[in-house]
Amino acid sequence: YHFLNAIESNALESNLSLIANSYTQGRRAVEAELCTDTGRLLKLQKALTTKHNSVHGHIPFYGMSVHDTMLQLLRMGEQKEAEKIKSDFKVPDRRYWWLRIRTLAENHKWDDLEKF
Amino acid sequence: MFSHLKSQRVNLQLLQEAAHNELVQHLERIEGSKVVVLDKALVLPLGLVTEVKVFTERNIKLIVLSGELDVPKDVTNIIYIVRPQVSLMDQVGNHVMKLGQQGRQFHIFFVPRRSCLCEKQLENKGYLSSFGSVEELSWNFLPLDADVVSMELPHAYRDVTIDGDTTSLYQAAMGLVQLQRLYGRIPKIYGKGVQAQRVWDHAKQLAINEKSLYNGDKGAIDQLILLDRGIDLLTPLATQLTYEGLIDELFGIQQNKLMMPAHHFPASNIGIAGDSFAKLLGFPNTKIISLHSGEEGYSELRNKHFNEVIRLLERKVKELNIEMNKYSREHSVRQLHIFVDKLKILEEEKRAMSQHTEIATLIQTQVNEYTFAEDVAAEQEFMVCADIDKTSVYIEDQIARKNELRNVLRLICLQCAAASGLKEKVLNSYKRDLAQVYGLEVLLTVSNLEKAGLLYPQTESRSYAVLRKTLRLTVEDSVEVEPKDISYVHSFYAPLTTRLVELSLKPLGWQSLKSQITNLPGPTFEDFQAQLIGIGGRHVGTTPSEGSLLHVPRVVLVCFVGGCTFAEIAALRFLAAQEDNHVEFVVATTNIINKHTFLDSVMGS
Repeated sequence: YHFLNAIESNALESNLSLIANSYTQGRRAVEAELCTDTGRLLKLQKALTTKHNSVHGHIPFYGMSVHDTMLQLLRMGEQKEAEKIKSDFKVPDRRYWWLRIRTLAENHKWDDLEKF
Repeated sequence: MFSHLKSQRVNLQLLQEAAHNELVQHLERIEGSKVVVLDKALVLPLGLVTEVKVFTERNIKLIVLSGELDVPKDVTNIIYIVRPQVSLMDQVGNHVMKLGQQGRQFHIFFVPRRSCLCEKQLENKGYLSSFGSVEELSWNFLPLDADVVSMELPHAYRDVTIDGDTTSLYQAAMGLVQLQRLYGRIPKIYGKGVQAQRVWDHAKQLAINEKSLYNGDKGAIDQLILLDRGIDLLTPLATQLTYEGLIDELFGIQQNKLMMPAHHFPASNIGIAGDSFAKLLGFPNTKIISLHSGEEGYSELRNKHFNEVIRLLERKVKELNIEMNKYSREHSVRQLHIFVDKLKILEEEKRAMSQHTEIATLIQTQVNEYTFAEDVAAEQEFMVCADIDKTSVYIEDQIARKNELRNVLRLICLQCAAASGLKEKVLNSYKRDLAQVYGLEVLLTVSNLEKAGLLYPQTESRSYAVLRKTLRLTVEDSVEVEPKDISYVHSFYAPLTTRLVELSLKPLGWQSLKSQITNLPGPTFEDFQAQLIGIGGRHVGTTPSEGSLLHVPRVVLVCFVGGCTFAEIAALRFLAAQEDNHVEFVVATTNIINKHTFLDSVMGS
């Protein structure tokens, strides 16, 4: 898996499966899984960018981490989509709630916060 | 020249003078007007062996190496003083190309050794012929303080473990031989760890041809303990709680110099302690404070737990006030005369005190912050092995809030060190969390940590948990003020390395330790360098003189391969101060590290 170093630098979507393969060869299942996840995420992000282009203006989702993507969605009030990502990528509840609390506080929605 | 280096039985001033003379000799061998171009990484270390005066007296201008070089027209010699790094050679080469036509001579001094790679690089580009001389300044260990020498190689641990570059080990070995040349043969050697063993093997190889080392009596150093950083990775990751350790972690101490924004200090103070080597690097609005044992007040404060420092400062200020006031009431002329003399000393003390109270206040504000206390509390839970096989809720929250990656990784590595390896499930869960929050790139950093031995899956043995008990690494009734045990440096945790040193001082200490530390990685080794007697070169097990020297403190050279922290040094000084130990320490290290610099070096790609 050492030659990941070389490939990662130009971080291209197309290389992801290659990297995942070498991780599997090196018997590193978790890393391989994370690579395929990232591949899925990047596709999803492209879709999100085009979808929200009209309403919220151009938001460059592409290349964000799972965490930041959810944060961005919550900020835009797209709770449903954020929750979809949560279940798709098996994000633990605890972390998701941190995000929820943070965004609610940012938007001064104290009433909603109390309902927790 | 540097009085703070003196006073010990092993007089490190000798080392400083040797290095200084070497430089002067090389400089004087070159005739004509000169300009010295310094490698940025060497500017401050140079201040450890010599003074700017040496250059100004000889009318030599000092420049820091950079892409553009501005050299006065009338200078005929350009001297580079650099670390042997290939990347620097290209810069040097560019200069030669630009400035070479005007009949100038170039010289290059490598510190501490010339390297074939560098010379080849210059040769390939065809520059080597422009150099009048290629020399080396064999500064392996640089004296930091009366009891500390350092190689000032910040990436030594990383180089060896991640990049497989063992130059630093070789250099350490050279340094050990050099120290023996100056201070005499070291009869007894103990060591632990793979890299430590390699250093010693090198050193023995190098010393084979130096017959002088084996003739005559043993030197000023009685014993050498070589410790590999790899055997104790928990200590460098933990937050240090001594004054000096905290200063280093929060503000960074470089070669005894602390750089602070000037606006924290009253204007009248600026410039008093100004250091001309540091000025070369050019920081506007920075105050440079020297911190070493020669500084008023600092030698007393540096090794104390921070909670004690505040009290000490309070008391000192009070005392100072009383002294000052006492004399203002005296009236006779003679008494006034005495007072004026004393006033100078008092003023100096006052200046030092005001500086330290200022630094202490700055530390206090950071220490009082909620996050600091939380971090330390989390660390301490790991140290006593509480809930060590589960993912830590505290760490998970840190990740969820996307707090500073370095600190998160530090805590994970700390847990790993304390648990002697993380459970597969725990490790994977952290990896997934990290990648989801910080992005996929984080896996590269993680793989660096794995290579460096900071993260690894659990195996059968639980060396930390066992040693914590057998070596009393965590002490329950620890006191921070006027402590009785070295564990005060981390509030209640005693660094494994220094505990090993402490136990080895006891009669037959090393012998009994050997069986206890088999769980730690790397071989345990010992060696004796006895005097050669007669033609046959018979070896004598122990030197007879040792027994009769019971009343003179032993001198032990503790060599950390891969760096050591200020807290560890403080703990060793504490041991030396205990009378029944009868020992003095000299610390040799590749560099002084702390939790930030250590991780930064390992994480960087």
